[in-house]
Order: sequence, then C-alpha cells, then structure tokens
Amino acid sequence: MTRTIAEINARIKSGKVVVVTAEELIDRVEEGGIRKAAREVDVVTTGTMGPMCSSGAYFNLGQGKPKMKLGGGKATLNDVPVYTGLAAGDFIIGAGALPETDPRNMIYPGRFPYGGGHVIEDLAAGKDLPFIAHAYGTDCYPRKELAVQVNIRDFNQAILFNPRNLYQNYNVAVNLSDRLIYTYMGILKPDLGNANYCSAGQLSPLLKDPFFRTLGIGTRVFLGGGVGYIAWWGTQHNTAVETDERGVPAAPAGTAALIGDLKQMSPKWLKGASFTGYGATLAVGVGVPIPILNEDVCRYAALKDRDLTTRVVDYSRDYPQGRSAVLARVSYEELKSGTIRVQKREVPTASLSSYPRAREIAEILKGWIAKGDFFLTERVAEFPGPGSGYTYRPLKERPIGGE
Amino acid sequence: MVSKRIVLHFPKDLVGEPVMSRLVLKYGLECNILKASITPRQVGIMVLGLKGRNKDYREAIEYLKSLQVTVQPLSQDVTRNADRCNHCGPASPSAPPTP
Repeated sequence: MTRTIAEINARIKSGKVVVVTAEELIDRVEEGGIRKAAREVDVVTTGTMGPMCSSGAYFNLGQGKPKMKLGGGKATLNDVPVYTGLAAGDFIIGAGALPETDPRNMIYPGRFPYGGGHVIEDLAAGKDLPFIAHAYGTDCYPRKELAVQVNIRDFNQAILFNPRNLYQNYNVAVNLSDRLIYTYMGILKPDLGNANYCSAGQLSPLLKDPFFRTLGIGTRVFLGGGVGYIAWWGTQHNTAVETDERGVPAAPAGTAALIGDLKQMSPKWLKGASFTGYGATLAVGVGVPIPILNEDVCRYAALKDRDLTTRVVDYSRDYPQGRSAVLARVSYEELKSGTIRVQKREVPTASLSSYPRAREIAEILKGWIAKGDFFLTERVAEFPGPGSGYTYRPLKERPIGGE
Repeated sequence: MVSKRIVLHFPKDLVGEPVMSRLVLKYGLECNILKASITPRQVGIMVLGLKGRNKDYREAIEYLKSLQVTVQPLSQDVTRNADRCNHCGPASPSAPPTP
C-alpha cells in the first residue's frame, strides 16, 4: 500500500479524505491492525504546545516623516529591547528578551513577569504597544527619535520565526540536590521532590515521524493558530542520540525551524510564560500533518505513550555541568500516570507541555483538512536523518589569542 | 482543634512586635514557619502552619489583624487565571507558594 501527497490532496479536494488525530490512529491500529489503518487513513494530525525560548518574530515598520534608520540604533517594544542590527525599517524580538528594568535574578528567584514572549502574545491579541526608538541619523534617514503606539496592523510584515521548536523528545528533569532549584524545566524540589517533562508524547509531531520520512523543509503546518511552514531543521538538531529498540529517539533529538504570518495567529496559541528564577519565554502551539504514504509511516505514527521513552536527568549538578547521566528510563505512559520511579523513589510528575492544547490542535488541524481548507505540501528538501552524522556538538573552548 | 496553613503579609514598620513569640506564649499555638521572605520594599511575607484550639486560633488571627498584618488562607494565595491558563502540569503540584 502506498499513496502520494498529490493523491491525498486530490482526496482533500473531493471531500473524501480520511484524516484522524494521532490518538485516533492508535485506537484504529489497536482495533484493526496496521495494514487496515494504513489502507484507510490518508492523514494523521499531531500537535504540541510547550514553552520554547528559541521563538521570536521579525517586523517591518513603515517609515514616518522624516525617515529613520533603525539599523545600528536602539529600540524597545513595550519596554522590551528589540534587535535593530538590520535595515532601516526592520527589527527582531526574541521570546527571552527582558526589559532593562527587570532585576533578573538579582532578587533571587527572579519572577520575569514580562518579556519578549509576552510582547508577541500581546501583538497577536491586537493590543496597542509603545515603540520607542533612537537612531544616529544619516543624510537619507535623518530622524533620531521615534515614540509611537503600534499595533500588529501597523506593521508591513509581522512574521513569527522559531529557530528551534518541535523537540523530538526531551529530558525529564529532577533535582538530586538538597535545595530548591529554578530551571527552564520549572521549579524542582530538592531530593527528587518532583519530575518535570516536556513533550506531548504520542501526539508529538517529530516523535510520530521519527526518521523524518514525510516532513521536511516546506511542510505546511498549524502554527500559533494560523498556517506556517517548516523553514529548515531546527537549531540543536541532533540525529545521533540514544534510541529505543525500534530506533526511535529516547533523548532530545531532532528539531524544526518554523515560520508563519503572525498577523494570522491567535494569543490562545502564543502564550508568554514566566519561569521563576529562569526567565521569560513563549509557549507556541504547533500541529503537523503526517501523510500516511505507506504502512511503515503508519506504524510509527501509531506509536503510543507506552512505546515512547525518554531519560531522567539531574538538573542540579549533571545538566549544568554538561553531563547527562541517565538516572532512569521512563515511558510517556508512566510520566502521564502522575508518578515515576527514580532511584527506588516514587516521584510525582508534571508536564510543561500542555497535552489538552496538543489534543485541541490535532483536532483543529484535522478539521481544516477535512473541510478542504488545508492542503498538504511536498517537502522541498529532507532533514538530516539518522545515520547522516548530523549531531549537536558542545563548545570546544579555545582561549582568545591562544594557539 | 484547628490546623491551618496561612499566608501573612507584614507591613514594613512592624519590627518591634515579637509576633511569633506572642502566638506561642499568649495563644498557645504551635507554629511552623514554612517560608519567610522580605521583599525589596521591606514587606515581610510568611507562610505559616498554625495548630491549636479553635478559640485560641480565632483570637490569634484577631491579634494579627490588629497589627495590620494581612491574613489569608494558603489556598487563596494560589490563583488560576482561566483566560491565560495553558493547561500545563507544574503549576498545581510542584509550585511552592509564592505570595
């Protein structure tokens, strides 16, 4: 049994497409087996919504009179600094950016109540925000100061860009020390007091296409409530990690870079988040369709929480020191049960990634495809996959001026 | 008997009053300080477990209020903003009280 994306799109157009969520595919496979499910189902939808600091947006603001060159100057959007090292009218904001007045961790633990991620959410919500810029002035762009209210409608372009998202799998974070610690994996209580994980497991896009057999550069996706695309593989993309017996990554592995029109998006699917003691970030809702091109694609898309595993890592000493000693291997089924067993202890678990939202995204994307509002794209290039040798490399520090 | 966890907000000028000693000596309550901090603006925040007789507990709370100490149940200190809630997990089980 094989089918092509062109055939699937023809079925979407004719209204005959069979599209199910990854959860529904699991049920179908359990009832009728892989072969039957692969024969019947054209597309499987996945979803995820977790905090991802490697999120940002770039903008172009039209020129007032006289004109102004932001490039090389300084600017803030709602007090949050933006990056202006580009052309006259362009700037970038990152989810982790903080107002100059934020005390950071000087008053420990910092609260980080507002940052770049919150700005992106506020723009998507249609709020007016103050934009203040200072420039050095040139003959062709003489203006040196600008202080105006801006709204997402005012920008010529407002583009969400994630250099990294859709982590294929992720660590479970615990704390082996004797003090409370504040991490990007949340607050971790001392002495294995809790365990936080961050993946949608059986709904997680890249875990359901673990060898990148269908998705790649150019894949159309649900992004922040609108339509976006996979722009590239993501930063820290890693194809050389521990795998389970099926070859599915059992540690943080592949990632994807995503791009889409922020003007189409909704604050429901772009949530600014504050991590006590760590910083500000953005939770981004993403859904990826997996075309069931053959039985093999179906087999992996049907993997269950019970089949998908990850590693438990200490974030008090091992992670900060660049060690990832595996304290335990656990399945997403165990994680979602509410407790896991680590070093003979029962440890309560919680997910940073929102499973209810992941489920909602998979349903919305399914609805778009079923109604003929969303067609699948052929990827234009593949991701580096397992066996490619493409890996994450830690920094090999070379002293400045050294040999 | 009553056993409760409460959050106290102390005004910044309340330094001369031996509040904890009074709760123990005058009202006979068992006190367990779960968390205490002073904000940059000198406001004191304490999460306190109190155990004792109903009458003593009520009188102690009145005493605290008479000092302009704000008293609220710990459960009230953890609030959920339904509009912004993203339905992730850690907020409820692992977040310590952060008044």
